[in-house]
Amino acid sequence: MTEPIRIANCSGFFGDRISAAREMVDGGPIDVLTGDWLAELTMLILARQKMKHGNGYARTFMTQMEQVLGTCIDRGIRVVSNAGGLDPQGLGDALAELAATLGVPARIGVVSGDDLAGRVRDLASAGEQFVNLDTGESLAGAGISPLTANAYIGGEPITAALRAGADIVVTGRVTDAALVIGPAAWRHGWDYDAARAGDQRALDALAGALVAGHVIECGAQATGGNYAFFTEVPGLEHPGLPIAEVASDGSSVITKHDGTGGMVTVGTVTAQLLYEVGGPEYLNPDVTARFDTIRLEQVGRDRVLISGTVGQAPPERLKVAMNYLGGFRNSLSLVITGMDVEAKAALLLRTIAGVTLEQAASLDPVALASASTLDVMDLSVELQRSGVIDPVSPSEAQSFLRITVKDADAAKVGKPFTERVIEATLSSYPGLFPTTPPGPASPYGVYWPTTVARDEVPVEVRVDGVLLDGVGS
Amino acid sequence: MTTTSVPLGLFIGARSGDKGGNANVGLWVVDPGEAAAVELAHGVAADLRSDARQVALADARYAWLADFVTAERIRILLPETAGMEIDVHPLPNLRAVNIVIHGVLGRGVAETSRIDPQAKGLGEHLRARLVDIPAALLDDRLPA
Repeated sequence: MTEPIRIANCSGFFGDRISAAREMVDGGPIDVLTGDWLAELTMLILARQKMKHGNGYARTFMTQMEQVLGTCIDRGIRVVSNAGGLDPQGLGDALAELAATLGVPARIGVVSGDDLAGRVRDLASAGEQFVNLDTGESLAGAGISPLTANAYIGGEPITAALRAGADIVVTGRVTDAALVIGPAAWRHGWDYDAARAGDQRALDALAGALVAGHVIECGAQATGGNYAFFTEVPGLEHPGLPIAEVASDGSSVITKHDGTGGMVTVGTVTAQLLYEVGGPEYLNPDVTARFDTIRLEQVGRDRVLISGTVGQAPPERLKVAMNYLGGFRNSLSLVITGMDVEAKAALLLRTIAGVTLEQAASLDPVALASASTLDVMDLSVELQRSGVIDPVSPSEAQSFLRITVKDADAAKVGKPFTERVIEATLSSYPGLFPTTPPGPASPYGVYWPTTVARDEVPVEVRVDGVLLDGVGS
Repeated sequence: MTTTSVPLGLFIGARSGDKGGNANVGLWVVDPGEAAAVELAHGVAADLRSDARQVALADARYAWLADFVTAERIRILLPETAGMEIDVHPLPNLRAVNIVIHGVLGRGVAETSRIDPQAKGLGEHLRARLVDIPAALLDDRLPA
């Protein structure tokens, strides 16, 4: 039986604490440094970045690697990250360059093949419907061509890269927890083929690592950040980030470096287990974990044991996250001070959009737009009644009316919208002013969650540029 | 049975987030060993062995929570979810209930006009709602 592998997280999203990689490497013993950079929205941000600057990976990861790469190679700490985003090979090349500059002998693994954006039309003609998991619409039926389309890959290709000797593995869209499954399976020699054949021990081990990965993937959310009982958490001004010590049977202990802020309790781990989950079956390309079998136990200071997790066969199809350009939007928030909040809001809405407050409250945004005198596709109104009776301070006197418009045409939600509101400032309810100056329209993305057949996602693993044979998804 | 009106969040934790146009809110009952774990985290010696009375109280709280949380009640406590499809998944092993609210975020974080586009605050909103709770569940000095 191999010793548990200590897998640290140093990022929960694109924009998380830059110093975290350094902190996790210097703060105590770890075997693997991982980080998640990719939320659903991030792919869209990276797509825009790629169009503007030519590279589609998370550049903040490079900043962190400049700080820790040498130490990681010296100490044999593996690095596994999905910061490759839409351009994993680009990130791999940048890392190879960095290693050469630093004179560090780093072997770079790159996992790619998740990016389906260029193949959506071909896949659709080959029979993929890309049905929206939330709405049931087919992609073709909605007449959409996505800007990004990425299949969620599992931990297996990461394991393959590590087995082939990679020191650093960067990927595109893998599941957040795959960053932990991959190295755990590598260290403990777990057999993905056995799991596929239904071997319960292999499934349970992978499922345990999946749960550990889910707990640490969002950084400080496992150590007291964003936590309901935050007043109980020591040192929350600067919480340490989580570490999963994953044992050979897939059970794990969640902890953090000694002497750091935050805490790891059954409460903080439970909170993160419940983050962004659905039913009791938690899906991943490698395995499905039964969340209704997980047992938690406080086994020491800032140490929580996760055990008992039962694994099941993974889903047949891979999840795909698509994003398309939905159109353009614009918002204005108007302050309503003092009395008669509804009457003031109603007057403004009649003036600029020809709708009543009742219509604004009851109609959906498309219906409200068509009932209005504004030439837009989508109109939504939110009245925030925050003012109190007999207000003492200005803030107690203020309520807010937020108006948002959307349209395929940027011009329609630019000046024609903001001018109508601004022109009313001297001629409408008493005390009218906006919270910010009127701005231009900004583009917005729409998320399209769907699935694809595994066979259609040809995952590729390269180590120092050499393609490995026969790696599953 | 005496009941008292208190914020749900008095002994119930919550974490909420987004999955495309859906939001989820996980609610959990404070673990019977949590007070000792927090003491330890503050560097204060504490006994992690389980206390039967605390376990019984947490179990009673969970029985109440699992019964209390229904789609209908969520639609009342969070009126913005009226008319939406809501799934409730009990996780007794964690003394938790997961609530999935379909469509509350429109078509995802980038598209929705909601002021809180990722439902970050939805759990804290729910915790702040006053609910009628059996008084016996509130006092952890009393046997449950």
